[in-house]
Amino acid sequence: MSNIKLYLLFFKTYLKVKSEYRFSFFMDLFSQFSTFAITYLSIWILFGRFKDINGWNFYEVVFLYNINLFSYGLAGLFFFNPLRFLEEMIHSGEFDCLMHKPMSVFMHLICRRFNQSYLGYLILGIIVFRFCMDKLNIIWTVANVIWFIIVMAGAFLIQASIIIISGTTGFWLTRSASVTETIVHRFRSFITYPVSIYNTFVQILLTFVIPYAFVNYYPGIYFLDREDSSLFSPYFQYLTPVVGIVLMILAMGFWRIGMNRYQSTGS
Amino acid sequence: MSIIKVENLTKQFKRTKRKKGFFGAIKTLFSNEYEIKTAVHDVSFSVEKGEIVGYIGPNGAGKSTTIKTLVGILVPTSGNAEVKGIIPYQSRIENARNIGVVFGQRTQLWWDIPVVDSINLMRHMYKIQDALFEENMKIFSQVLGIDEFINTPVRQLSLGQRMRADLCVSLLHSPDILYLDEPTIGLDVVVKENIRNFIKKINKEMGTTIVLTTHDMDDIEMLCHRLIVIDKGHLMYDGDMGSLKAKYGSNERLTIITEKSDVDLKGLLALGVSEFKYNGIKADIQYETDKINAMGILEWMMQRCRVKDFSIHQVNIEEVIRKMYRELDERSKMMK
Repeated sequence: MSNIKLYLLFFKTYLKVKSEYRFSFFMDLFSQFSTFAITYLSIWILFGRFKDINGWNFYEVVFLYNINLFSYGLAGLFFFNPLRFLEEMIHSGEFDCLMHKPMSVFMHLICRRFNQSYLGYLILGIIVFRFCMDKLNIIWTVANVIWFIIVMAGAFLIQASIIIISGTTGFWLTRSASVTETIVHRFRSFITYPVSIYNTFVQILLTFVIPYAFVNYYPGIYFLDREDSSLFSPYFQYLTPVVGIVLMILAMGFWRIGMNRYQSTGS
Repeated sequence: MSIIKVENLTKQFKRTKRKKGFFGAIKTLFSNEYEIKTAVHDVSFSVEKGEIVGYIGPNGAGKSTTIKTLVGILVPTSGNAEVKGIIPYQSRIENARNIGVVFGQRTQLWWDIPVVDSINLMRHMYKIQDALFEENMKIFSQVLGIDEFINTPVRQLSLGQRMRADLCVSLLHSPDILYLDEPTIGLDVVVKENIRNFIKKINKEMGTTIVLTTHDMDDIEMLCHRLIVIDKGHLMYDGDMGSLKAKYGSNERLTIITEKSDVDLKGLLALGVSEFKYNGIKADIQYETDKINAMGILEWMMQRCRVKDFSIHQVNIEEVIRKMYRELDERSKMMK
């Protein structure tokens, strides 16, 4: 609990400091904002030529992408920078400085670095979500709203776990940053579009190996009422929170193994 | 009661042979090729409360490995370590409350944010009481001059300022023990002096036990009551400075400038001179103080030629250590 309080204090301090440089703060937000605005634009251009992709219309694809972007933005805000630079911190010895403090090393790591530009993703996600909500046939009953929040939490856990797992390889690999970049950026770009458009191999990969499909595709089936599009099992549309929790437990276990290795090898 | 106890500490590293490149990295992950390196071999020592101990040795001697074990970063292969009754690698967090650590070449401060905010975060991390916090900050701003740069982000600090800030945050919670890993590396003379004075003051006024590793011989000479020398993982010497000097440092050096002459200095060797160099004008003479003194040599020279000038160089700890390292090296070569 005191860790969380400390994190909030760090968060506040960091934002205070960053916002003192107002221009660069907003430029950071804006640059991230525009990068992903371009992705929306490319989806829009694509739909200018094709009416639908594998039966999914423009707004549905944007809805899927939105869940991806929002959950990624939230996970990245906390986890991307610390884990992406873990390898570097180990090599520079900065990691040792986390270990002589009376605090969980993982929490301390998360407290060390922060990337405010991910706030741009969140803002963009909210704006676009508001804009496409009316075009979708989702009836927002109380139950649906609650389920949507749970799904978002699950999606956040999946995104966070994958960042943590790929970053934690830094305990073994000297170039883990490229692993993180490859998985988190390249693999995740698959779920910009509905997973059903890919061949079986990619579907298996995104469902069972790096389960990004549970971030947006499977829950999307439920919200957009597209049971006809389910892959493997119709139950998968409800599994996002479970996958998130299981993956986070795995990620924490993997972190533990990495830490044990570090404590016995010191490198 | 010893505050630090190290018993038969051994640390071996099992290293996979690394391969280069992305695919090499993946291969490394699955490879079974190991090499075992013993960083620390059967080292035992203890430190009493309030001591300042210099833990020294050449690069790769095992200094950092020992410190890291005491801090709780590394788990020893065998043997054990105890700090204030706590086993650091089993209760890392509990141990962390009793210690302060400064690694000279890296910072524990938050890179992007001003020093004052880093201090504030540490204050909460250690849950430091207001009274203690204010008292300590008063001392630190007086002695370390923290106020000058307290609102500057860490990344904009000079190395000296950063070191002062690092010392400040590692002592905020009034730890019993302070580990300093090369605290004066890369600093200019004035800042070095400043930091040494601060370390002395902390030791004297707060009773903080200090273990420091360094390559700077002035650090040792000015700070340490006691030296522990380690080389290739083996403990080589543990004792006070005086006995180390007596054991390895009975040498002195005398430089004499003469008018041009062709005196053969070989005659000096019989009197206790161990080495000499003479080019007809400048003579560099090393001798053992228990056999002959500078006056004896000067008299000998003055009988044979006109001496214009001379100077005596006291042994300093640097030469003592260098000599010790050299002897260690020769001994290990002979063993082979």
